[in-house]
Amino acid sequence: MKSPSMRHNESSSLRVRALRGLGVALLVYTFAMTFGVPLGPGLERVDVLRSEITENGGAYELQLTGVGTHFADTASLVFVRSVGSFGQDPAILNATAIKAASNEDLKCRVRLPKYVPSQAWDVFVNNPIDGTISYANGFFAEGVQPTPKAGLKDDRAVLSRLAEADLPFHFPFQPNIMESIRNLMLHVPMWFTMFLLMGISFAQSIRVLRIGGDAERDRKAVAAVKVGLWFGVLGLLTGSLWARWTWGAWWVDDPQLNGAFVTVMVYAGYLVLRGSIQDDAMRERLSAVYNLFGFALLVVLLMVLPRFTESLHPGKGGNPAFSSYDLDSALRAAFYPAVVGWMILGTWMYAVALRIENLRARLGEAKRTAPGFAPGDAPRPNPSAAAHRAALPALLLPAQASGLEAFFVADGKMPVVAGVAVIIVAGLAVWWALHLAKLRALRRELDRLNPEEPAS
Amino acid sequence: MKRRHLVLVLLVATLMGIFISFITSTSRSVGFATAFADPGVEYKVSGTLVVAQPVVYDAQVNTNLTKFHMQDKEGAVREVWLQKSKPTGLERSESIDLYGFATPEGHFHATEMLMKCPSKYNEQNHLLEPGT
Repeated sequence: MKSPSMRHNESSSLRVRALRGLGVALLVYTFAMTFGVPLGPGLERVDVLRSEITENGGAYELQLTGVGTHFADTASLVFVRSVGSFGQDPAILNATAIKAASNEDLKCRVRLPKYVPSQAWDVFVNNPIDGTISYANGFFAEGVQPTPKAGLKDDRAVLSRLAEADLPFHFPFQPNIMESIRNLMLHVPMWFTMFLLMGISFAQSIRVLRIGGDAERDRKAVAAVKVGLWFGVLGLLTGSLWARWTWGAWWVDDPQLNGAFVTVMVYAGYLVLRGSIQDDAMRERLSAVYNLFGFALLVVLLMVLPRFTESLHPGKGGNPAFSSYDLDSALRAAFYPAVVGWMILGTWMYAVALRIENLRARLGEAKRTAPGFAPGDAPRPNPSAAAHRAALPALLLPAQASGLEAFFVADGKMPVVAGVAVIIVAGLAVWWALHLAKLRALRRELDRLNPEEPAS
Repeated sequence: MKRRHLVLVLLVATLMGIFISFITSTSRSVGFATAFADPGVEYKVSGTLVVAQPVVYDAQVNTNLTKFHMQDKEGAVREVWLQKSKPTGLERSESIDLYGFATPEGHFHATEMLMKCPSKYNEQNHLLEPGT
C-alpha cells in the first residue's frame, strides 16, 4: 500500500532545510542576546538614613542603592519631585551633599520647608553615564505639613542641565523585574508558538469537516496539537517560575493565568477524547469538532478577554505588552527574532510529530494486511526513554525553601532567567529524545513487517 | 458538515470562554465596603497605594508587619496591616491585590499581597516626561 500523500513530506526539500537553518540561527542569536546583553542601570532602593525635624522644616539624609550604576565613576545630580501636589504642577528640589560611597551607593541630603506640596516624592539621579534614573514615590517626608499653598523654592532649572546616557546596548531596567526581563525572549514565544501550532491544527480540522473525513488532515491536526501542548506546558512552567519571583506566588488567581491553564486542559481533553473512540471516521469528525471548539476557547481566553479585565500579567487591561510602543528598541531587537526562531522550531517539531503519526498509520495498515502477524510481539522498551522517566521525580522534588529564596533573588534575579532557560531546553530535549527514538522504533517495526518496502 | 454548524460550534465556544473568564476574574475582588461589612471573613481587595500616607515598616520592631494605606476601586481608603516584611517596589507598584480580612479595629489585615509591576518594558525615563 503506497499512498503518495503519505510520502511527499518524508524528504525535506532544500527550502525547508534553509528555513530550519534560519530557525536554528535565530535561536542561537536569541540565546546570545538573552544572556549576553547587559542590563541598564536603575535604582533599587531609597532609604531615609536620618532625619532632623525642626520648626522650620526637615533635613533628610537619603541613601540610594543602584543596580549597574556608575555613581563613583562620575558626578551625579540628585533631585526629588513632589507626587500628587493637590493637582498643581509638581515641585522639584535639588539634593545637596551628594557623596558616592561606591558605584552603587549614593548618599545625599534633601531639605524641605515646614509646608510642602506633598509628603511623597519621586527620586531622580542624573549623570553622564547612566542618564536619568528614577525611583517613583521613593521618599516619604515625615514631620512636614502638606498644604496646597506651600510656597516652595523650585529647582526646575535642573531639568535643562540633565546629561544624556552614555551606555552600551542594553536592556531596560525595571524595578522588581530586573534581570528577569530577559524571560521575555523565552517565556512569551512559547505561547506564540503554541498559538501557531493550534492555528495549524484548527485549519486542518476545518478541512476535515468540510470534506467530511480525511485521515491525513486528521493526523496533521493531532500532530500539531501534541507539539502545541508541549509548548503550552513549557509556557505554564516557565511562567510559574517567573511569577514566583516577581509577584511572590507560583500561581496567581488571574484571568490570564487561569485562561492559559484552562486552554491547556481543553487541549489535553482533545487527546483523551481521541483515545476513547475506536471508530476511525467517528474519531476524525468528533475530534475535529472538539478542536474547533478548543481553538475558539483559546482565542477568547488568551487573546481577547484578558485585555478587558484587570490582571497582574503585563499587557492586560487594554495594552498588549508586545505592541511596538511598549517595548524598548533593544528588547525588540531580541524579542522579534526570538518569536520567529521558536516558531520555526515549533513547525519543525510538528513535521517530526506528523511523520510519527503517518508511520503509525502505515504500521496499523501493515499489521492489518500482514499475514501471520503475532499480536503479542510487543515493541522493545526504549532504555533512553525509561531513563528520562526515572529522572523526572528527582526534578519534581521540592527543594529547600529557605535557600531557594536567597538563590533566586541573587544577582538581580538572574537565576530566574537561568531556571526558565533550563526548563525550556530540558523540556525540548526530552521531547526530541522521545520522538526521535519513537520514529526509529516505528521505522524498524515497519521494515520488519514489509521488508520489500523500506520506510524511508 | 455545513458552514452553519461550524459557525455554531465556534459561537458556543466563544460564549463559554466569556463565561469562564467572567467567573475567574470578577468573583473574588471586592471593595473595602464589602469586606468591612463582614469582619473576619477573607476577601480579595484590589486597589492602589495612597502616596499621601507613609509606608511604615520597622524591622527592629516587627519584621512581619508593614503598614500602609490603600484606595480601593470604589475610592474608599483604609489602613492596611500587611503580615509580611515590606515588599520591594511597593511604593512604585501600579496596583495591589490584597488577600485578608477586615478587623473590628478598622484596619484591613492582609495575609497575602500581590503587586502589579509597571507593564511597559521601557526605560524608566518616561517618569520625567510631561503629563506623567
